[in-house]
Amino acid sequence: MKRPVYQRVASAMEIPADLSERAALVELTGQSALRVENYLGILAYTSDRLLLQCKNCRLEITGQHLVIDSYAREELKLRGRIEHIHYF
Amino acid sequence: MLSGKLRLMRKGYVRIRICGGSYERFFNLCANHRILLWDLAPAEKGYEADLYLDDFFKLKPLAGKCRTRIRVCRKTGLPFFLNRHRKRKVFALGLLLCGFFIFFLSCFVWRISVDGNVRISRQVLMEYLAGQNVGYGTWKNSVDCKQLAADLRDHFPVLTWVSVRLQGTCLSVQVQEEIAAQEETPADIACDLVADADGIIVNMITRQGLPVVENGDVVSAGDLLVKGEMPVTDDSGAVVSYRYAAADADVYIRTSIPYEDRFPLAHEVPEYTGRHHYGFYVNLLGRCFGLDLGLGRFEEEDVLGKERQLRLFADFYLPVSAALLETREYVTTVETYTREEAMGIAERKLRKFLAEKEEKGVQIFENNVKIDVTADSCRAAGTLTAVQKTGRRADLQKTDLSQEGTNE
Repeated sequence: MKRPVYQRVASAMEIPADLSERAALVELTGQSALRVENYLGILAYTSDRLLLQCKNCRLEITGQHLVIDSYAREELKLRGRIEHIHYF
Repeated sequence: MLSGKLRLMRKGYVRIRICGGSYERFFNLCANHRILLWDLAPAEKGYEADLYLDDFFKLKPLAGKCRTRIRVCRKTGLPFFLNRHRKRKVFALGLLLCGFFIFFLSCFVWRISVDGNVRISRQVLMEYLAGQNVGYGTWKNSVDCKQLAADLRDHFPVLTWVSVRLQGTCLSVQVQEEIAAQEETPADIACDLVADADGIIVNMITRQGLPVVENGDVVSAGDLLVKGEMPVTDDSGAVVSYRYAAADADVYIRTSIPYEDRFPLAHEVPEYTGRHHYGFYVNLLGRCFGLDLGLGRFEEEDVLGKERQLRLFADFYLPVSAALLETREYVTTVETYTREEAMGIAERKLRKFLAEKEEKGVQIFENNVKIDVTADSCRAAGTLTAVQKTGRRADLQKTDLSQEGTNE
């Protein structure tokens, strides 16, 4: 599949995908903390499931006792017992 | 971390409960309007979250859009504290004055600690410091620690190291003294060595000077042992001049040390009755304010107490000391030692005397002390035969060669 020009330019210039394509950046610390950047918003949130809308996909985090430590436009911090991370 | 918490308390924050409507839309609207939510968690009938007080007032239109209801659960921070106490102006003024007073007190020296001194007493050092206008209540900025340390070193030559520093309201003076005592006569000044006790010489090693006695000689206190004046002779054996040096030798003599100790068998024993009284006093800037001290309440009494200087933090001492005094009554009864007890006490005293002598380098060879217990007293008397080092430096008498020649 032929990639768009901007993707090829970004690849040639070695620009990270989170900057060039606003791909979701997920940082997981152990099983208890998670930080997400480049998301568009929350689609659903309960104490055992968090569904985020990203630019190109949806990100589902499931676990137990999930609490949003901080929620701002730039980043989201989540704590609790994280069991699965699912893209679809 | 700490600065973040302080900022949080300064700005103030509220915990809100969000009920009804579209929660997720409300969260996203908050994020898009740059309203920070934290500790967001599902709660009974909705969600709970924390947000800054400033942001709380921006929520109303957002909540209307999402048809959610906002309820405040908890308010935390300085704005709420000030609002609660807005009518207590005198209290606020008192807090302010208290802070100012504490700051004012922190500008003075309220404690002087002296460490490391052995030969120079604390009182002598304190008197010197007072002479330098450094004492309790001195303005801290007027104390030049570096200069004060230099002055102390100059004034007390025995101090080899001095450190003066200000910690909070405490002036800490740490000193180190010379380990070896200064010799009365420097090694390069010519002198004689004379005996300082009576006895028989048992061993003698001369390092410098002309020995005038030898092993087995009987000497008395003040007798010359080693001369610092050494004659220089020519080939014919005539003295042409004298060379002078500091006489130095290890001279050991066998000597007798008299010992006598006497104490009465009847002695007073204090017996506490169990009655006691507690008093309290405060020492403020050198003036004492007592509260029912109870001194002189009993005919015979012991007073125990320790004054403690109050402090706010580790080194922030205040000009206030407090003490709790305990006065305990006792009754004096006269008891008599038994013969065995008296013998035991006399032996203990003798052992202590011998130990002190041995610490000073005296070797005890014979112990002829006898302990006698009579009807009313105990007496330990006799002599100890010991070998001890003797010799002290004394000014030498120089021989005039020209006069010697005239006399001849």
